[in-house]
Amino acid sequence: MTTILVADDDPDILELVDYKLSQSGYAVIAVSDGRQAIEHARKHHPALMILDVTMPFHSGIEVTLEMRTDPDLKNTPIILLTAKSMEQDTERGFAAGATDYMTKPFSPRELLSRVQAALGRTV
Amino acid sequence: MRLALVVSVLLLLISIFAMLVTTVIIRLVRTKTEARSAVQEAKLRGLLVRFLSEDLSLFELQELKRIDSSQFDEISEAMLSKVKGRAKDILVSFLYSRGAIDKAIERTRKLGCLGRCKAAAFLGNVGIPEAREPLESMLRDRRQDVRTLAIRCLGQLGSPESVPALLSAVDDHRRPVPFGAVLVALMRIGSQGKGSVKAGLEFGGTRCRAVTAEILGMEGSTEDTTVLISLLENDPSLEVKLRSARALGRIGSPKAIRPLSECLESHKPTALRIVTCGALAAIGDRDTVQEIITLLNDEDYQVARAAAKAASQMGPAGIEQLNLIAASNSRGAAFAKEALARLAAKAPSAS
Amino acid sequence: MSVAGMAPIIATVLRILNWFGLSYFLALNTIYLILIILASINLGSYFRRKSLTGLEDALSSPATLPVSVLMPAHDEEAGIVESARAVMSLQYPQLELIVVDDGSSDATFDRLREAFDLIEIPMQIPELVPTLGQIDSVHIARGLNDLTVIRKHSVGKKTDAVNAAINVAKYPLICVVDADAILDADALIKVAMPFIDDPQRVVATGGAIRPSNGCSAYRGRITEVRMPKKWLAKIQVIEYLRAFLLGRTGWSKLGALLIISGAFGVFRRDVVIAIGGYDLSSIGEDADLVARIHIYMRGLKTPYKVTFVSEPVCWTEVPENITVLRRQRRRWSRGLVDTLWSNKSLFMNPKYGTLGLLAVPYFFFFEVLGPVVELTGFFLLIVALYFNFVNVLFAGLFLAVAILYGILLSILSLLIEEVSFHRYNKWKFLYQAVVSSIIENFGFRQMHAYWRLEGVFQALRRTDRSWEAMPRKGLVSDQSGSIS
Repeated sequence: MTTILVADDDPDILELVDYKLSQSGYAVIAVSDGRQAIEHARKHHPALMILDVTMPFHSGIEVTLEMRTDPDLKNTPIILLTAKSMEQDTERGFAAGATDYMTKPFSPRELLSRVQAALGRTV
Repeated sequence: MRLALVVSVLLLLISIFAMLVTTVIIRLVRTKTEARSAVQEAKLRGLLVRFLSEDLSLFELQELKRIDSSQFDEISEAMLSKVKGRAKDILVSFLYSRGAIDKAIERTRKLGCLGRCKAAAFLGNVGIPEAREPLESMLRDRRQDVRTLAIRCLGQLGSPESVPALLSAVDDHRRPVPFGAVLVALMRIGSQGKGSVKAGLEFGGTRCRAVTAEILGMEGSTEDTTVLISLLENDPSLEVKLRSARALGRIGSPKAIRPLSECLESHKPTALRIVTCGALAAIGDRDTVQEIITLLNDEDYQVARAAAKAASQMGPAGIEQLNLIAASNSRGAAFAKEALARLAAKAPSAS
Repeated sequence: MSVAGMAPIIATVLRILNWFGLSYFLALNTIYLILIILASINLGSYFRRKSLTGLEDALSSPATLPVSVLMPAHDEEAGIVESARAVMSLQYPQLELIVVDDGSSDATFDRLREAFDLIEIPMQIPELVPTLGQIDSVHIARGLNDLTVIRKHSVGKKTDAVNAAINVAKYPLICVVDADAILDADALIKVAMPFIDDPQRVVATGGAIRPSNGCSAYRGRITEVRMPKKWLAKIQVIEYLRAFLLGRTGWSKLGALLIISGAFGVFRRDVVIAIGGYDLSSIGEDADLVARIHIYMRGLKTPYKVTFVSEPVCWTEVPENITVLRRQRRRWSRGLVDTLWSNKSLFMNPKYGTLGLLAVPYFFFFEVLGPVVELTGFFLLIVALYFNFVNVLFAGLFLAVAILYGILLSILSLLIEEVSFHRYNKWKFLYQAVVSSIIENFGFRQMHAYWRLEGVFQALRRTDRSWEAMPRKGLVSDQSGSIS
């Protein structure tokens, strides 16, 4: 089963994404901050990561940077999820090595299709 | 005298004790309810999430409709601002069927400020047109935070019809509202409201025109260049001129180059000259490079620095000129060197 | 004259002093009461706003003014990289960080250079506000981090470093942060919010500060809030709660906020430049800056606001031993006298509204003269008891009222904290806090009064100002811990 790591400090969003992806047949690791995101990514080597940009300890962008320096994880696709819609954040996210970007409020269906697209691209 | 002291000691002791007891009770109640509600919340959220994903069995749906807890209302309301698309439609129609929306509209007309604010925030999130009127009347509330909240909610509602109300609120000096909040609200309403925004130029005051300039720049369409140019040239307010110049830079139409160049003249206000440098850099026309380079020797160091920065953003032509100045003995050499060094540091490295 | 012969005179003097003391006491408590009421009102509006604070909006709005964060650092090699990183990852749409390496003799600069890939740039720095220490070089970080590091010679003053940073700052708002302060992720946006809500009028805002002793932190953010282990620090937790939840909140409501803590405040850069930046000769630089901002803005005759944000956003380490605490409090007290003296035009001046008529006199009569009155009262009480002028019961009652009132204020701030922010969620905290607010009155309060008195005397003697300019780490911020 394909494993996806989801990190967001908002329980509503975490649950929504977790459920949607689980229903679609993915194994989901749901965590609520950047510290756990890095820990679990190293332990479980997910096939894809969905990261909130503004979460405690390590922002989604920092986690992305961290992943890109890890030989085992540097190619893992990362989708950033954030409430901000500022251009420079997108820029920073992509510069850090994110694969895709979605802004909140988001549509669970759209997220699913983006997840599939991102996974398809790497296979 | 002594009696007064005794009474005060007693009073103080009683109030200290009362406060302590209140503190303890508040804490007790909170920890208790928090523990209980955390469990309950997880359950309800799970149910809601499955409902939104259209995965509930018929039986569970019946169950869901019968839930009568304020906590569930809160969870669903919180969810509103986080989803869009089909999930949001489902949620809104669900809230309608629960009567939550009618109740909220009613609450915006009641006196209690806290309830009104909550209701307003909720309606803004739902985004139903019926919410517009009560929200617009809240723009005239005597408390600034209520007015600000109403503006934010109107933005979330996103109805172009509320543009005139927002614009007149921004000019109300007796009951001032935050400029930035109005700007964000208008941005959220987006291009549909642009017609009404432009109409605001005719009757609006300084702040209204400033908002307009900003919004037109944000939408970034070339057809608004003419309006912005006339604001830049004719508006009496510096604030409006500054915002127009910035907006013209953002839109990037070459039509704006000439009127902008005129703003660089030395008798114009420093702030306008600085902003204009940035705007011309954003348009990025090669022919303006020389004009900007001349400013490196300007008497005002702020203008000179802004000009150097602008030139460094204008591609090879600008950089070439900067290098020339940097090698020279002119006053501008220091600024040129700084701008070049900054550019080099910020350039994506080879690694 | 025999001792017995003097008795009637002493008795009269004591009676007069007695009445004086009583009215002093009444006046002080009335002011406290006003502050309490205002703080409660503020609590109401906090709840109103909580439902939709607009923070999210502000984070994505182009109208949110960009901020230059200024961080003076002197021998901070241990924590500087973490602090810098913590600032740059603050939630805010656009910010730059300017670190001033103020003549460090350790590896402060090297740590920064390694961590952020610094590169030196030639820069002509305009002298918008005065600086003394010579600037050696300016460095910026490669890549996306908007970080500038200024290396300069130290003159032993934090204010000189901040002024240098003001000259380099490029954004319209400046935020001064201590290098050893721990900030919450939303600290900046919360404290800058008043500027976003009311950009025409707000010129300065300050955030609430809490002691960080005992708390755990990870990557420059607080992870768990706990009570400090030492009682001296526990008492300071109560002091800070009182000062920020009651004092500053109340003064801010009255439009008379005089102190914005140096550990975390946001200012409009043009206003700070217009008043010439920090006064390099001032001891109480933070209060002095705010006082001069008030004077300048009133002079312009345009409406303005200096606002306090009561939500706790910044955590700093407080002294845990008596010697250091004594030095700190002496310095605060000296700073206050210095500020009030250099801005004496504010005193009782109706032109400055509540600030001139209420806040400044309050600071003079109750903060500066407070320790004098308190210690004299204490002394007289003992004398009176010795001569049997007052009855023991009466004296005891009077003392009890004074002490209970102090405890009342502490408990009230605990209640406010409980209702509003409840950052301390352990039961143990409550119990320790109550005990601290009681024992504070026996020993600490008298000691504190004595330290403040020392400070007042030092200010009056105008002792050389630099000799103890560097108590702990060379850079000490002014955050009055008293109810002010």
